[in-house]
Amino acid sequence: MARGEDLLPPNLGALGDSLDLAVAKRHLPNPALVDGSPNQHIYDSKAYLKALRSRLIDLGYLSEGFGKRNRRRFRVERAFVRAIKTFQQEAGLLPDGWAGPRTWQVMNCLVSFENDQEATNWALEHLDKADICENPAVHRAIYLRLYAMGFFQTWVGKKIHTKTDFDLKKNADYREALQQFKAFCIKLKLLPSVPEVNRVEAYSFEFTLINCLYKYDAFIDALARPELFTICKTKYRRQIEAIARIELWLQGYRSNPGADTFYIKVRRERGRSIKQSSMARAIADYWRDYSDRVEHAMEKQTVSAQLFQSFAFDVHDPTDDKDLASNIDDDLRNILADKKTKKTLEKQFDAISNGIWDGVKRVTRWLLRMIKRVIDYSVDFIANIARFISKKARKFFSYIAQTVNIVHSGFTYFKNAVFTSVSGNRMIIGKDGDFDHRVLIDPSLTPDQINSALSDYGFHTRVYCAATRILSRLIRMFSEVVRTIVSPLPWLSSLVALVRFAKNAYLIKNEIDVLNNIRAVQSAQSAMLRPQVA
Amino acid sequence: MSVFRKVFEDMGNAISDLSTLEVTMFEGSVDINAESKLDNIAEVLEAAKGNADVKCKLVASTKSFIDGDIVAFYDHEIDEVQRNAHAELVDMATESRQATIDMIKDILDNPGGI
Repeated sequence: MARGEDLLPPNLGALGDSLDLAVAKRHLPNPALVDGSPNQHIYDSKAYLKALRSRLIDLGYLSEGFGKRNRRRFRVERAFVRAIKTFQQEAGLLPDGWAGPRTWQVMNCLVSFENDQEATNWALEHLDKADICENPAVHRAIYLRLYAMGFFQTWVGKKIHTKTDFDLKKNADYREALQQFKAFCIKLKLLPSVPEVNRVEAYSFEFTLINCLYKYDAFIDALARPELFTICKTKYRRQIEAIARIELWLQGYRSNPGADTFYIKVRRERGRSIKQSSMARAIADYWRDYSDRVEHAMEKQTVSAQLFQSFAFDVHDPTDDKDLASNIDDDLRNILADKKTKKTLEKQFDAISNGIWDGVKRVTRWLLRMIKRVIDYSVDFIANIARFISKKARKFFSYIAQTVNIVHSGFTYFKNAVFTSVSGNRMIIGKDGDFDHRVLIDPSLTPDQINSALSDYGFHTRVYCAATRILSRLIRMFSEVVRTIVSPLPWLSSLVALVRFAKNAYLIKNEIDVLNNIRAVQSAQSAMLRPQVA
Repeated sequence: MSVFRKVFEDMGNAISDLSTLEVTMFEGSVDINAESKLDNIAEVLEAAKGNADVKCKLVASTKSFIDGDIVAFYDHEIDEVQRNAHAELVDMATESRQATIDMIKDILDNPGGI
């Protein structure tokens, strides 16, 4: 993050910071939060589920999981639904396990620092002040708030979790934090001063205390007063820093609220890394953005009354309502006023536009290549299909032609009475209509000539037999068609007829193949079927 | 008249005589003009008789009945080739007749096809 910031041109960084500030002041929707998301199904979105899980974990309804994985997930598993139901039940909502706008609103009221809360106006239905003080969900939220504001002795080990006990009588740390908060409020004159803490009150929540806890801006205003800041800065240094951290985080600076400070490597000097605390870095960033509000350099990295005065100025800034567009206009005007930054900005835009144009060209070329490939493939594919259909059609036509030829030859055989063979008509076979045969053989014929003549005649009888069988099949096929037409169940008959049709067609094909084989064996010409019989 | 109708009429006429099958084989020489059209074997035999030089002789005859009875005649001078040719012709005729009977049976079973 720090390295990325260093690489940015200063004015672009300033523009980004302005946008962040606008987000912090809720002039722009925060893309990291579900609020203001353009997603119409916001309560089913992943961002919303993640935010909801995070809040449930913060309130101790859901465990962090190994490696804090529960914060990153957006699954709706059983434990998650159970946690929602528990929260709804404790908050006085209908425990249906579905976290809709009402559940989200209640949760936001309890957890969020962004808006001051009036506890009496909370969306916890049918609860009066006493009920709010006894409400378990409120207890959890108070614990979380006290923790975030640094009223527990340490950050480590005190963070809320699923086993945390929220009973003041049993949880001494919680009790002590609450008492310390009360004393802090008295110091800041947010609560009336009392001679000493009542023993009974130490074990119970007071409504005024809760209300004070949720008046977050009041702390900013109080700490902006130098005399109060001076009184508290030694004893409540940790809490003041925590409050400053929360405010910086709300304004979009990387200040890590609700946790101990961490260090960021900023540069190397003489072989050693110079580190800076995240808090100091956030304050420095803040003052860099509002350089006109601070005079002393020393103030620029520490939590001071001046910082809180600046916060208070932001909270009550009359320019808050200034149009965001005019803010951006101002920023741009400032950037364009300086020739150097203007040139840098132009270069940046040039680089971006060139990148976009290159990308568009590449995508276009890729699309054209894809379209060409798809067309080539489609043409090949269609050509193959056409070839396949053509081949099948030729074969089919061939079978039909042969079928007609065989049937015609068969009936010619049946019609013809006399068959002559061998040159000179020296072997004559006469056939009657009832298949009685009379044969006249010339004595001069050789055995081979007789056998050849018989073979020829045998082929004619085979053709006739095949023709009768083919005709039978055709009659069956037509019969099926007629049955289908007149059937009361046409679809069923059609199916049965189709099966039989296919079977008969297959048998006709077999007849043709058998005859073709015989013809091949006899080495006879295909034309012999007709002229020799005729 | 259409070809099929004539064919079926011929078939109808043939049915009446399908109960018997007779195959007769003659030996003799006959001279038939290639262009002449012969309608039945009787004309051939008649033409053979007209030739004084021709000797036409019955060498084999087989008559089979539908009930399986067979009456066969073979001349004692018939040679092996003629005997085999006669037997083969009987088989061919039997096969053709059976095919015809089967087809008629199919037509009767599936009248809708006609």
